[in-house]
Formats: sequence, C-alpha cells, structure tokens
Amino acid sequence: MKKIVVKRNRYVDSVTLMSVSERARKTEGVRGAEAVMCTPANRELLSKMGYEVAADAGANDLVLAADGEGDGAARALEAMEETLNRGRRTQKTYRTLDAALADAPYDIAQISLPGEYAGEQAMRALERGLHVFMFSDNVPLEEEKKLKTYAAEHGLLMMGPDCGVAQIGGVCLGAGSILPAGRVGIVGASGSGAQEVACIVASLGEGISELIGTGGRDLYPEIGGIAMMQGMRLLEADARTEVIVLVSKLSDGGVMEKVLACAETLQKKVVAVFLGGDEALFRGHRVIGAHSLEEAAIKAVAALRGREPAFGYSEEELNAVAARELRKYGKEQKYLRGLYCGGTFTEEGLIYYKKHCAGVPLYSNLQTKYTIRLQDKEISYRNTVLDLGAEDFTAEAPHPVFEPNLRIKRLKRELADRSVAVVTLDFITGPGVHEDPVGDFLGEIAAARAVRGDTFTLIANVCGSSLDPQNVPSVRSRLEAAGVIVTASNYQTARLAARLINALKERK
Amino acid sequence: MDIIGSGKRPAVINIGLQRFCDALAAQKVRAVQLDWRPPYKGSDEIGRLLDMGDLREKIDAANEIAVSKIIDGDPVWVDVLPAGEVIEGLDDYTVLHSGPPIDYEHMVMLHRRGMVSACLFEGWAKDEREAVALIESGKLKIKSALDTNTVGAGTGIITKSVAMIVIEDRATGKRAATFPAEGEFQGGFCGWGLYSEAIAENLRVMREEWLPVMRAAVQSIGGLPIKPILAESMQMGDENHTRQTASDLLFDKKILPAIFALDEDKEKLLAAVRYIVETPRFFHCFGQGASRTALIGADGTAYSTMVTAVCGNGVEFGIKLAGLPGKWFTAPAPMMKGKYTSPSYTEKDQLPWIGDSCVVECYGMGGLAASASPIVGSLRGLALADCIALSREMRKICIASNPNFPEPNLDFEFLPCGIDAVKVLETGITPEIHGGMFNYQGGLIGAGSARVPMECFVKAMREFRRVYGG
Repeated sequence: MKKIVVKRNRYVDSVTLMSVSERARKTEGVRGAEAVMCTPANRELLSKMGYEVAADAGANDLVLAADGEGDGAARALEAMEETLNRGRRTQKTYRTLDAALADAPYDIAQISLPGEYAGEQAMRALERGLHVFMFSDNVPLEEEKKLKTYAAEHGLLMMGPDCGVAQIGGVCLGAGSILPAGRVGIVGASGSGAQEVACIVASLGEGISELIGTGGRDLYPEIGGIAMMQGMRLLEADARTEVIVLVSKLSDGGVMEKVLACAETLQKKVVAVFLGGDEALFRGHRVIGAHSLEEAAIKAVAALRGREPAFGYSEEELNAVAARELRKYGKEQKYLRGLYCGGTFTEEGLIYYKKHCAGVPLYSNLQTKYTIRLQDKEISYRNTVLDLGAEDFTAEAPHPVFEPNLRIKRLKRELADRSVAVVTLDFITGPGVHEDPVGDFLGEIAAARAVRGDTFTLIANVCGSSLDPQNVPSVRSRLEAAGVIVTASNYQTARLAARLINALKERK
Repeated sequence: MDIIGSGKRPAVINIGLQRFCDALAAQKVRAVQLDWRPPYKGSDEIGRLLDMGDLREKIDAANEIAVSKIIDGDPVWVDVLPAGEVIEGLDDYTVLHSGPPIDYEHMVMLHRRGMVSACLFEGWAKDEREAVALIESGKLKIKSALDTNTVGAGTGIITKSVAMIVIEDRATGKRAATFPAEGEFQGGFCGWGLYSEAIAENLRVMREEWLPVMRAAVQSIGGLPIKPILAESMQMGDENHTRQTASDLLFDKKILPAIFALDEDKEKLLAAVRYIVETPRFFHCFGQGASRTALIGADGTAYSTMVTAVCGNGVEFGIKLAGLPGKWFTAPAPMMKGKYTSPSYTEKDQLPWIGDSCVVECYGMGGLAASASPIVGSLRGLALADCIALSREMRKICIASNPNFPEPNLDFEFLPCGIDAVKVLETGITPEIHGGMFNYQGGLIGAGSARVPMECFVKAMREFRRVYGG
C-alpha cells in the first residue's frame, strides 16, 4: 500500500532528504520510501512510481511517500518523521510530582538529587502515597528519621537515603541487578552487600522475592533500624518469601539487639550477615548468623533446600591457583593493591585480610580499624586497599560504577609499580550502571602485559545477574581472556589474594 | 503495603540521574523523568516569582501553544499595500515609532525628527515649526509600532501613505506589514526618520512604480512563502538579522522570474529589479514580517510566558509576553557592543538600543541563531565555537526547538525558538540580540549585539503573577 504526506512550506535540503529516505527504506516491510521537495521533476518521478501527489503541492512543500506491505508504509513514514525530527531536543516534561501524578498513577519515587534537595522531594512523594527509593546521600540524619517515621506510620517504604540497590515488584532500582524471581527476600542496609547476596543466591539457582534497601545508616542509633524492621515484617507477610536475609555492616550494639529481637518474632527463617560482627553477636538468637556475604547466600539457599550448596574454591583448588601465580613473581614484587568500587566489598575484603593475614599492615584511603590511613590517597604504599567509591574520590570524579576512568587510571599506575604482585578488582553490572564496566580495563591490562609480560596477578569478581544488560557470562570470559582470574565472589577474591599476600610475606 | 507481594509491577517517577530513568525504560517499566531544577539562588524576589507550584504546568502547556505559532506558522508574502490599508488604526494624524511607547517630550532626537518628518511627508504641516506645533498641541497620535500589526525597524516611523510589504500567516490568517528598505536612501524616512524632497520623491516612486510591479509579480505566483527561504538561508550563513546575504539571493531567485514574466514595459520591470537587487539586506523586512505574524498569532495565549516583543526606543527597552497582551515591561535601553563602520566613531556617538527588529530573535533567528552565522559572529571577534556556545546557551531559555531550522554547525540540531521569561529568571540568562548601531545624529554606524536587560523579565513576571496568581 502507498501512503503520502505533504508538509507545506517545509524546506529540507536535498542531502538531508537522501538520508531521510535511505533510513526509512531499511525499515522492515518497506518497498520504497521517498522524501523530496515537490519540484516539477520530483512530482513527475513520484507519479511514475504510482504515487498520487496533491495537485496544489509545490516546490516549497516537502513530500514524504512510502510503499510497503501491511503497515510498512506507515512505519516508513514514521521512520522518516523520526529522522527529520532528530534535531529536536524537547519533549513533554513534568516539573513537579503533582503534574506527573495528574497524568498517570505511580507507585515509587526514585530520588537521586543532591542531598540538600532530596529530603524535600521525598517528603512530597510520601505525602502523596508513593514509596521512596533514595539513592542520594548527604541527607541529615534528623531528616532521615523524619522521613522514615512518616513512611512507617503511613505504610510506605522509605528506602534510603544512601540506598544503592533495591528490587521491588520485579523492578530493579538504583545501581542494582535485575534478579530472577524466587523465594529469598532480602533487607539490605548495604547496597553492594545486598546485591552480592542476591546475585550469589541467583547463581545457585534460586531467586529473589523482594530486595528492600534501607540505606546505609538505618542501623545508626539515631535511626534505630526503622526500615530494616519494617522490611523484615513485610517479607514475613509476603507469601512468596520463604527465607529472609538481613544484610548490613555491624552497627551500634543496642540497635543490633533490637533488630535481632525483631527477627525472633518472625515465623520464617532469617539469615543475617552484619559484616564485622563475630560469633558472639548471634549468641542466644534464633537467627542464622553468617560472616560473609556469600555465606549468607549459601545459608539462605541451605535453609530452602535443607543442604548447603557447593560454592567457591576448594582448598585444593586455591592451593593450586596460588602456587601457579607465585611462580610468576620477581624478587622485587611483594604487594597487593585492592582497587574496589563497592563500599561493602572493600569492607568485606579488609575484614578477611585482617583476620587471615596476621602481621601484614594494610594501607587505605579509608579510616577503619583494619587499616592505616594513606598519607596521600593518590599514592599507594605497600599493601594498599582502596575504596574508589568513597567520598574522597567521588568528590573529584563520578562514582566508578558509572564512569570507570578514575579506576582505570589508578590501575595503570599500580601496574606500572614494579613492587606490585597482585591487583584485585570488583565489577558491578545492572541496568543503572556503566554499560560496559570492563571494556576499557582490558586495553589497560593488555598494555601492561606488553611491558611486564605475565608477571603479575589480576583477580576480579563480577557482581551481577545473568538478566543484566551487560551479559555477565561474556563480561567474565572477556576478563579471563585478558588473563584475569575471575572468582565466584568478593569473598573468594579475598581468599585468593590473602593466600598470595601471606606467601609473599614468607618468601624471603 | 500495596507493592510488596502484590505481583504488581510498580511504575516509577525518577527525580535525579537520567541514567536511572533509562535503566527503568530498559526494563520496560513505566517510568517518567521529572524535570527537576534546583531552587533559584538569586534574589529573594525572583525566588518568590519562580515559586509557583502548579502554575508552572499551565505555563508549559500555554507556551507549547504559543511556540506552535512560530513552528507551524506559514508566513506568505501576499501583497503590497499602503500602510493605512493594512495597519489597524493607522489613520490621519497617526504616527508609529519603534520601541515601547514614549511621548514626544521624552523621545530621542531621531524619533522627534521622525515625528516632524511624518507631518511633512503626509502634508499635515507645511514646515517644521508647524509640525512641532501640531505635535505639541496633542493632535498627533503617537503609537508604538508593536502595539499594532507591524514592526518598526530603526526609528520605525510609519504613516498611512507608506507602502508596506504584507505578510499573511496562512495557518492563522494573521497579517503583518513591514516597510521595505528605501533603495539608495537605505533607512530613509521609515528607518532613520529623515525627510527631504528627495526622500519623499523616492517613497512616491517606490509606492507608485516599483512596488506595484512586485505586487503584480507576487500575486501572479499566488504569494511567496517566506519560511522556506528563511530555512534554507539559515543553512547558508545567515542568521537573518544582521545578515541576509543568502536569503536575498534565494528571494531574488523566486521573485525575478515572476517579475520578468509580467506583461509590462521592460524599463519599468528593470527599475523594480534594480531596486530589489541593489538594496542591501532587502529580505530583512520579509523576515521581520514573517516573525511578526507568528508572534501576533501567539499574543493573547493565556498563561503563556513566551516573549512576543523585544525592542528599544533609544531611551527605554521593552518586552511583551504572549499571556499579557498590550502590556510593556521596560528598563533603560542597553548599549550595543560590536564594530563601527569607521574608526572615527566611538561609544559617544552611539545611541542606546533603538528599533523593533529583534522580532526576529523572538522568532528564533538573529542572536538565538548565532551558530548559523559565524560570519556575523566574527564581526564581533567571536570564533565559531563562541557562536555555537551562544546558540546552546539560548536553548536554555527557549521553549522549543524549531524543526524548520536544522543547523549544520550544531550537527543539525534544531535551533531554539520561543523565549520563555520564566526560564530567563530561572537561569539568569537573558536573550542575545543582534542589531544595527545608530548614531545620535542618525544613520547606522555599526552592527553588534547586546543582552535584553533582566529587569524587563522581572517586571514582566511580577505582573504575570499578579494576573495569573499561583
């Protein structure tokens, strides 16, 4: 069928028009597409092709003509309009919540404004009955308390501030991964921590009912775990959830007690990981305690299946890999450099090294009980572990999950340092983060290999789901093709790196 | 808790990082990005003017309508008529002038002289003394050209006997008339407010000999659409305020064959042809006429904050908004910066802004289209990159992009159009305007640019809030 549209007094130069028709011709089901000014010559041409051109169309008028099967002609016209309009920079915009809500209902407000403005918008959203996911940080604690209290009183979720990931009703928010549906419900105060647990659960063949984020400060005494307790009660009531996992860094003792006591009241099995906590934390509680993110995931799956799934390196495998790597190093190579982008991953790594690498001082940009603060965060010293997503770095450059340049530059410098033997990296995938988190690293790694050969060890883990747009299996295989050891989890990365650090220390 | 465990896929409003909204779209989630802006950090008053809640949505909707008059308009040159027959209310003893309204007493010398010239030209007075007496008696009605359906470029002296180019917007039926350049006298009577026997004779020749030929020619081809010429010339180095090099040629190409096809005395045709091709920037009045018809169409759009007039009278500078028809918002006229035609001129010789020709900026040309004309930019020492940056800056205060004007130097992004007074206050960016510099004594002494004073927008929005609340 043939279709024709005349646009009066619309001038488009002939070169542009060529590209307009060319693109439309590539549309499926299109036999022909013409975009021409209606000069006498073009009119004749169109007539010969069987188009009927309006008699009063003239040289100042633009003619779009298309021929195709079914709705092919209509689609070709659409494609031509689209090409003609590609220079348009404006579309229908909403400036206020009320304006958007007047046109259609919404359930969640996702807020990532600068902290000073985020609170006001969140309160507006809550007042209009929306749940809030707030990625923003730098929101005052009093404001967080006010928002969470209001939300809890009104049966709404206030996820955040400083909430990195969530998955609600199958919709992945923030910097999270798209997780398969399943029986494990998660309440997470630490973004990358909750995501790691969820992704490992998924890799073990299970799925996630809901992943409720609370924001990093929910267990601070000022907030008192409002969102975490609200979250676990919601999961208790949710029919799909069979096991609940709580994920956080260790916090104030009183709040930990309160949260654990709240978990006691639930009928469902609860697995909890509070990074930095010890056995004593869980003593006297019914909660299934875990001490690493992967352990929490494994125990959650075990709670579902009645037996623990196999995961990560066996001791033999670990020994074999370590022995192979140790043969590569020259005399001057002694040190580890951990270049993390996930805050919880850094913490989990540090906890592991502190426990398993006795007598090895660790330097970091962070101020923690596990590390010595670097004099200059730009210059690594001996064994250094960096959180490149921490505020001292992100104040100067975008967070590395969005924009890898900062971490790539740092990797280049570490690989140029002849005292470095091992570098660890974590990668995070998901629809909200960089579309190719590893691509630019591969070139840098190849460049270093060209200079130093295969004399150093790169260890990486990819926190992501097979449903993420980045294609996680290919991300892993591209890293492996570049000679990177890709582990099953952040914890496994730390295991292998710790094994190498210890061996290097003992090598005289 | 409706969304937990309900199996319902939530819909999301995203406020902040666009990438998070894109991530939702990639998951096929119903999501919308809120166009959130940080609260204005300028003066308290501007903060209050901008704190308008839901009124902003009404403004946005109204501005879409107003700007569609620019984008979807179809301006066509249809006729040549004496001003009295086409301009509303232009009777005997009425004189129009450029810029916001001003009385004789406060006018600059150029305008005063123009009033006298008008009385002499129309025969309302025998000599200057009589003309001044007539003016001072109050019998002479003095009006701002932009309060009628015309444009007063330069001094904008228009009386009923001046022959005008008539542009009709075939989309709305609105008509605007603009005066053509006066051949060898250039600005002459209308543009420069001058009067002499020779100028009067030239106006008569235009009216009775050249323009009838053009009128017959344009009617023989059923009218001449202006938009295609503007569109094509904007890709050929014109911004259609200071430069019309390409549009003049495109215009000639359309009209000359029609003139030669007329069954008329060859000498008469050639005289008209010479007039057209020998007058520099001849097409300027057509571009202004096309702009004016669109803006007349937009005027009166309730709740619209689109700017429909930007002009000066040498003393004050004024703007109008589509939603506040008939009202002026003024500030002292700015001085233009640019290049003088002779090194002997200095700022002392220069008159503050005079003229209505920024009607083309209101349409999205001139200063808003700076990137289209690096040649005009270089006149003021700007590099191409500076010109591009200017158009990009102007986008921030505009309502829409004009699909009629894809711009090569912007990689075919559409040029911005429709100045929004609210965005001017929000961003603190005022419109860049091009123009000609006038000597205190009369005559053009250079070309350059200025910015519309912020005060005009503050006053306009003050009145807007008074009228529309919010």
